[in-house]
Amino acid sequence: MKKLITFFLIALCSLSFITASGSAESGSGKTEMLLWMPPNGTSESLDLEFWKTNLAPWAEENNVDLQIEIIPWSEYTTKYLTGFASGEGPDVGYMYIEMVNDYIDMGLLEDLDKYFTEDEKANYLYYDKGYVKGGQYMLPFIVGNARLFFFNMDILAEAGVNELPETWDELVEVLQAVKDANLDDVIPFCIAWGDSSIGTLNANFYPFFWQAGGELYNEDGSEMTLSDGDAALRALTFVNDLRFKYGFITDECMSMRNSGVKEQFAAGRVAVCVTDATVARMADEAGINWDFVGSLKDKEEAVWIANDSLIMNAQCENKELAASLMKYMTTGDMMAKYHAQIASYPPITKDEPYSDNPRFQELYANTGILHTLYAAPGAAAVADNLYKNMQLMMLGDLTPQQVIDNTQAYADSLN
Amino acid sequence: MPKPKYKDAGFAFAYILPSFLLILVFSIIPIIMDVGLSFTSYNMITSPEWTGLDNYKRLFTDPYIGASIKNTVIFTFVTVPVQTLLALVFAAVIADKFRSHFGEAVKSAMFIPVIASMVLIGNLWTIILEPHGIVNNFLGLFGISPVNWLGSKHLSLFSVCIISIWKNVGYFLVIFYAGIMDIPAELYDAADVDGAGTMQKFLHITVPALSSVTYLVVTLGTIWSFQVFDLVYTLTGGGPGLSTQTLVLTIYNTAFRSYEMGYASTIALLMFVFVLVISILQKKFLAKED
Repeated sequence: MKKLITFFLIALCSLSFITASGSAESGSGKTEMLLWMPPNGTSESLDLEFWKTNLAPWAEENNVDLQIEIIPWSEYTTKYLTGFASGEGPDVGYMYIEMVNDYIDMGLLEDLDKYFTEDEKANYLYYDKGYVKGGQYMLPFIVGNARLFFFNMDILAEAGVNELPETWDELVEVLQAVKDANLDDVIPFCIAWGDSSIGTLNANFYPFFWQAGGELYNEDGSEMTLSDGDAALRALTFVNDLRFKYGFITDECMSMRNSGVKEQFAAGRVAVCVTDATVARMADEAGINWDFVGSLKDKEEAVWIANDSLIMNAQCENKELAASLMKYMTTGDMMAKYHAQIASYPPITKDEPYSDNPRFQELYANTGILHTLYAAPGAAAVADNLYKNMQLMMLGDLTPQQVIDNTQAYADSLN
Repeated sequence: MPKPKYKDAGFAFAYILPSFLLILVFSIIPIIMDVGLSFTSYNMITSPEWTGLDNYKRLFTDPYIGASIKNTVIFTFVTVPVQTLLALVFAAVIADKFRSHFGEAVKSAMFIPVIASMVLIGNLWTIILEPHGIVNNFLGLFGISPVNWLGSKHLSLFSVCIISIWKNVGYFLVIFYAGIMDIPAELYDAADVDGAGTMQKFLHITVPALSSVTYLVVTLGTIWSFQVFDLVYTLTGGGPGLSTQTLVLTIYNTAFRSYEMGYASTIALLMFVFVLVISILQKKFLAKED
């Protein structure tokens, strides 16, 4: 009976694989290729137009019928999973690092290393950040949008502070000075705790955790190590103290989204916040006198950065062609256009001039302190659980140690 | 009565065949697959692996399941009665007092949230309920300090309920209104002759006459409530903590974030059983009135 049911299920599930996948020859003699990209610009049509226009010469030169789809973020994971499962996935796609683990485990991503020469690899600034789970499964494409400590220098000056902090203790001193100055309608320290996205951890937890010397997973990603050492406890206690011991994080922050943090900073109501680098432009436009610190020093220096990459479908029939497309998309000229027209990020290759905010140039060159997220089994579920436990801690329901214990127990239960 | 001929029966089957095929393909086969997959480990890419009752055992230890069931049940028990009652009252008032262009305009206005996308509604209400949003600014006029509508574990589910009620009332209002239009005017005329007041007519004529419509509204409302997902996904992501985690959100996260289709199927089956039991109970109790 058991075998019969399993056979039945396999038969049903296998139906989806009957359809051909990856690139193929079209009726016109052109090779068909499918590219899936996200809407990184202000709208989906903007991205689509950009790629259609700029990849047309490559498609023409290689006799390729290149189909491009912009996948909305709201259905990103669903579309990829169902696309790959039905054999209708892209030849070349774009994934963020939390997605790749399962696709690698399922054998769906191609190891890219053999398609790139040593010279080509050397031209990429962050090529090594695409090496995960023993293979070069990712070609870093968007690296940046760091989570940083931003300071309103006018508020700090009003509080008698003229120097930016370098350590956690100095941050507390700065915030205490702001609080003691009793400035009207000013939030001393603002981080978002009401955001529905687990990406909030990128500002609220990981920077502190890494600076305390922690790592969420062991080297091969097989084991969650939140409870190893004292880094998690130090980081969580510090964040917890900012709210309950010192009162720097107000109730207002508990229902604030990351977009709200940026709006309030640009409105001049926030003395210090941790948020993404795009707030710089908002603050400039609002005429805010701001400065930033990449990483505070505890045991180490660490800054969270995005690592979204191009991937190649292992079922792609023309892998050399797909690799050629990836290289073409990441040339210095193309990325310069992309960063100018679609989304402003630091360059990913040595031959692209820096066009992101000049104040962050030095930070992005200091690759040693730039950390990315993990490719590990169940990473998204664990991050969701960690974030929800931290929310409860910030509401006063859990202690930092309970956050660690609960999350570790949940992660262990997934294995 | 003449016996039906085989030819007639053949025609009858032919007529129901398209509907039957649709139900078979989109309902029955998926349910059967769901039952089968609930006993497996499956990620949609590789073949399912038989894991016996492991997924079912996990239901009892997974902290998300208990919270999801509790929140979904609370959500259902709050939203269904309130939206049913509000829709009924609004429909009765419009039918009684505003059978005019104004009444049509009110009905249309109340229907707008029904056709608006949940994501749009989620984002809109996030702005309305944020610390410096319209609601808190309004409360501030009376000296009330800002309320943490979505960031408090005590209020977040309540906030989601209010938004859901706001969205659904317009739909059920239209159904009730159509039902009220079908009630014979003679009944109200006779009640007038007997000297019945507005409330008496509402309670003793309108409400009983709408029992079959009410059954439909309650059943639909219950099923929709159990399916609540996009609103929670957009507004709170299930937080803070697990205070707004719902069954469908857990199913979605399990299936498309953790790629555990087998376990997601098990949770979906659990939800199916819940909805089935509640639907049977509703039919049993509301059918008496009918």
